[in-house]
Amino acid sequence: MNRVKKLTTLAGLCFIASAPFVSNTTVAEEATSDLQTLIEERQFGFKMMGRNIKSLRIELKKDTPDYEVMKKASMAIQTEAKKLPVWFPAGSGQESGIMTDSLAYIWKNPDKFYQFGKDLELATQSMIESAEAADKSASLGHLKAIKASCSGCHQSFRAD
Amino acid sequence: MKQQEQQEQPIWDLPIRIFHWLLPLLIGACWWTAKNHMLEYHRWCGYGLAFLIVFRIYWGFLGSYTAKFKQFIKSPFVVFRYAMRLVGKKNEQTTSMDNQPGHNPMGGYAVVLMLLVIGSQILLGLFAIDTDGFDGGPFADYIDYDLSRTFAEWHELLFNLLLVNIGLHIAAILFYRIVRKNNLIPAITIGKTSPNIPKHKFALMHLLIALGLAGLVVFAITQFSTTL
Repeated sequence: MNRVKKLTTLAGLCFIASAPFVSNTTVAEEATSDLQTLIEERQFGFKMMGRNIKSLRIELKKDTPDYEVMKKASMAIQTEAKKLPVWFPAGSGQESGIMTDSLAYIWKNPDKFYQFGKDLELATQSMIESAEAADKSASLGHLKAIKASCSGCHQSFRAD
Repeated sequence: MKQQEQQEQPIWDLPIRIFHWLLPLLIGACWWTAKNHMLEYHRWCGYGLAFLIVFRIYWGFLGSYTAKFKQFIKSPFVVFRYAMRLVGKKNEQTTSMDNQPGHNPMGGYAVVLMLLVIGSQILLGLFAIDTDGFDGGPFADYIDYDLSRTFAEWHELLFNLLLVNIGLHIAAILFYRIVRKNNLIPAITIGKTSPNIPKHKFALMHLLIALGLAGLVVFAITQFSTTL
């Protein structure tokens, strides 16, 4: 009986001693899970921008574009572009172990990175205005500016 | 069976030699333009490859003797027997095998695989779109963005298979050069001749048709292009 009591006490001590490790693992798992969610969210956001840039391009190929579609697409791109500062916290690059094309250069040169985001916001604002004015020629120019900020950013900050 | 007239003549005709060297040039250009996000030029390099592949398929049916598919696509049994002899010691049989002009039974399938991979790359590229939704293949706007992106991902993945194929091709050339003491380069560059080859002069008319057809296919692609 005494032996059983000793074993029970030992098991209890082991459980208590392991508690900090269990708790640390859970915290680490939660952090990874949050990062995973954030990375998925930004990837979804960039895809959303791509979809809307495509629809802008499709409209601008037409003789008479649907300016309402263009305005909505531009607003959608702008909404996503504004999220850039919260999408890239430190540690959310490839070092996180999560599949991402974000290069470490984002965190080495954040000013340049976020400038592309600001340029995108401005270009989409101009696009919204030219769509409201039903100005196709100006819209084509703004589409080129949107494309320039996207591809400029990709060249420096995106893998592949 | 009628005995075919044999004479000393280039193993590979001039159009095939030009095709052969344009292929790596354009594949390299495609890779470089994609790597540097020059997708407009990438598209034109892709058109160049499409031209070459259409030409080669036509030439595989109506070109000269060594270019024809029926000359180099053999049964799997022949391929197996060839592979077995290839790894064996050099003897009369293997020497005679090495002296056969054109693609060997294994190389024949490598050519088919190369044409299939490049052809698939071109087809995928037609519908692929860049991540920013602006630059893409000429037919990217016929499908939605997400499907276009899937095509783009396959396009990237398949490029790795193409690299493996190119690596095997180079390895095979080195194997023949070093192990079999058979230098394959002069035949595909300066047009080294061989006496063991049936007369295979191609018809100029077929060359013109092949070039015209390849040009027509590329022209049709550009006409149906959805790029801005």
